[in-house]
Amino acid sequence: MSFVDPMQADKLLGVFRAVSGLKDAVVVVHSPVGCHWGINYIQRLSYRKTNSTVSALRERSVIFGGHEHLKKSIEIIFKNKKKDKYLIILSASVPSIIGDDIEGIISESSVSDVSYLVFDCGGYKGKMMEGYEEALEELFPWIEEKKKKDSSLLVNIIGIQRDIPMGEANIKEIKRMLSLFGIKINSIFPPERIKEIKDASKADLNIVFGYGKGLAEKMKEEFGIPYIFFEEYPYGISLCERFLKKVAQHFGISEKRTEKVLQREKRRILNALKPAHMYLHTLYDLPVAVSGDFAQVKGISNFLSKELGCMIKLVNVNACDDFSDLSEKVLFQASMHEFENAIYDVDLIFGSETEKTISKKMNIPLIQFSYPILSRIFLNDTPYLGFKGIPVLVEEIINHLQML
Amino acid sequence: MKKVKRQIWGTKLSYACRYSIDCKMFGAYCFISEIKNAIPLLHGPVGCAFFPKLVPPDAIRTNLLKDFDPSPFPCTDLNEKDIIYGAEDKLYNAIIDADKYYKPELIGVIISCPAAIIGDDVVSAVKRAKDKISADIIYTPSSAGFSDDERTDDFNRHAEDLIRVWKEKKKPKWGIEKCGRLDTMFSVISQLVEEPKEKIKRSINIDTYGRFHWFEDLEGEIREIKSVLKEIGISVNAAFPGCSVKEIKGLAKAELNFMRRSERSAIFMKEKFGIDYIFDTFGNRYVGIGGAKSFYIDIGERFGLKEKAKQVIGEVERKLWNDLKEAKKELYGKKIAYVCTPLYTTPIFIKLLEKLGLRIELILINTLWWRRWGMAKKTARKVVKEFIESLNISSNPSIYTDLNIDEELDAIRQKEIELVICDVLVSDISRTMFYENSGIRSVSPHYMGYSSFRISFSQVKKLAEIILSALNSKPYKRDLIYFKYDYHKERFPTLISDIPDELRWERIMKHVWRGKER
Repeated sequence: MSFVDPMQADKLLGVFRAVSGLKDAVVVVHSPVGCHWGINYIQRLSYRKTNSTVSALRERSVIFGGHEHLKKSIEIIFKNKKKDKYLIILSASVPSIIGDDIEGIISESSVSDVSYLVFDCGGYKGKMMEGYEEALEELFPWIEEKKKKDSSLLVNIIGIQRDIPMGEANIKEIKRMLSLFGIKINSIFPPERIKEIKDASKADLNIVFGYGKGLAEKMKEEFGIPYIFFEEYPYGISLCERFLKKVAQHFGISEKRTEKVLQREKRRILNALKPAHMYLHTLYDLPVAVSGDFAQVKGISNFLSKELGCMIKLVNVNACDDFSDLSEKVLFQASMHEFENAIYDVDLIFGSETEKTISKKMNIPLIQFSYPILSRIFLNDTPYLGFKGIPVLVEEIINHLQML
Repeated sequence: MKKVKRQIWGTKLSYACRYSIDCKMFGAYCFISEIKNAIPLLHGPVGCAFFPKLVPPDAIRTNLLKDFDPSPFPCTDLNEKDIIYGAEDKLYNAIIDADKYYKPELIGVIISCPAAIIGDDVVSAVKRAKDKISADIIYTPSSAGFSDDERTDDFNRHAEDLIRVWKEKKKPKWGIEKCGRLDTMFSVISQLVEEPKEKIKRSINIDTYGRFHWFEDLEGEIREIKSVLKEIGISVNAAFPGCSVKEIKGLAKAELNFMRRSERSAIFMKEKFGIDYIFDTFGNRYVGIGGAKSFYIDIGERFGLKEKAKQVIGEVERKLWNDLKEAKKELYGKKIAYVCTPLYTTPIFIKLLEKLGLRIELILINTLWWRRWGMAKKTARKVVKEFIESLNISSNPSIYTDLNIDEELDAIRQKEIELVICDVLVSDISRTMFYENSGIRSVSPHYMGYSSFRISFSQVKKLAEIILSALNSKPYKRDLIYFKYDYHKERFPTLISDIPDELRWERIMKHVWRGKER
């Protein structure tokens, strides 16, 4: 079919997701009002408070350029601010096509002393996770060369999405798991504070989950910080083990100590799961469809298939990879209609808000684990990732299946 | 639809949209989604087609078409190459495939900002595809998000309109013709309505509207209009949108149009098909009991059935008051406070409250909504003055303007009010909770399903029931968690922590979008 009923957004939302949660930098979407409305709507309901506004381009801007609108917006934003002015401009489709000179506009404005980053993210220029990846990399200029003052083991976590279901709880679990080896988190990307970006060079290691490899490469080149790349998020026992082993190995922690910690964690998780033992066999061969971004889909499919014994009938993912040992069928950047047509004999969907209509229509329970998520809130520390995430996921699966 | 569902949808929308505003492309998507078996098709990038499906569907789609899911939104997935070389063929192919796959009765081609800038020949693609598809097809020439939009006009014009409606009973001059929905309505009507083989004698088309007003009984209003008109001897040819493509194609069979939103569309049909029309923005001349009577009499007059209309309406009204007899007894003399942001229909609504027997002791006027939309303080003061002068009621209420929430409570307590009726647009539920948490009964009729904008006798009965039920409700002693946070007293229910964002947004709207000099 030559149309796409999109299941993922474009580059603009990808960049917005990565930077709009910065509490001390204002994001201006340089666009007509609707571009900002759409992405802000999704992001605010994805449980992230955005620090953003719009340059509200109009018809006249298309003819005469959007400089007046952008200049005025910037001046309003920083009117009474004397210092710490951080600005991120997302140049959407209209200015991207008409060719507004963003740098020139900022230098002409009365707030030329602002620190700024500009992203050319017209919707036609790429898909959401490309924007996300690019945004993480382009934060690099704001990293300052700093040395840590003690001997603690510091890592940056790059690429864990904060705006997915259980996003903050996931980060806390990663933090807890690292603390088992005395490793502390220095900065997280996407960041919430400018300080996190500035201080990122203090880390001994960058741990990249799925997105932000470009940023890690730059930090390696500029500051000599090595990185470990995990293409998938650590769902389930084996991926958690792999994650911790690699990090422990990097820091020279003995195999014996690592094994001891892992055994203890596994024991705890298996104990937590024991009351659900009576149900675990019902998950064997359970036909499942998984849809979302690559790092999440790969990780969760691994857990569902290899550790619970589910039968992955279909995955829909935004990046190509070999899923042959995980899923019967793979769709790449599918349109909604393709996904719907490919779902056959499935009893459970792992997806996002996007799959909700299909789930309702086909009466298949949906566990929302991926972005965007607009109809659930998350207040508690119950992660999907890490060791602690395992019983949470099993609980979700069994409870959802019983709602049929 | 369940109250909790519309409450959650409304809450999500208003929360997510507090510091942003939608564009014409989204309005176009909404309008096409309000037609049965129609599919919107975007000529644009995926991002523009992604988010509308995550917004709750329009009230017309839910309440009239009974479809509680947003419409699919296929698009042409414009990429960089398309921007350089054009994508007319891509659009053509997408139309052909959308027709095959969705088997719709109508394809509405919506133009995005990039497609509008590069100047793709959309008309040509639509014309080429037209004979090769089963569906009807229309396109929206000006649905790009940056296109001319009357919402960007000076909001002070809204003040002039309010005064004109209250004092001179004339229709407002500032329309919403160029918003995305109505632009699309014009496209649909001008491209789809067919020359009829024959006219249906004494028939009318009724334009309904819904936006995200899930609380409004759109279905009940249309049912009542159809039933009363039938008794007068007039049939409703189509209530649109919220109807089939066939009904829209057949609009020209009617002899009269009643239009509430797009006079441009009414003029088009008059010029092309000779259909006379009555136009009344949002039906503001025809609300309340008197308004509803005028509605039927005006329509009856156009068909030479004025006397019959009077007779039928007389019966309907007699029955209404008869039905309300017991309720009126109970409501009589009850002391109420009315908290409002005055709209076109507010004076009529206040009179209606009096007619139900209530004693209006206190009116608290809140102008914040106007001012947040860009009305100058001075203008807001003038509108309030005119509003008070236009009130022709027998109660002698104390009237205060822009009290903060604590001062409101003090004024209500001093007057020993039995029920506070909230009608402040965006904060009704929070206000109701606030008063009730302070031990004063309160109700928001809109939230409970009453709409002062609907042409309806039965809505009056509903209003009486809502108020009576609130007056008889059991008062619970509560200490709500909701109020354990720091609210801005003047901008209730905005949290103090959200004030900087709110002010920034208002400045951007005023000085950048509407382009007023600082």
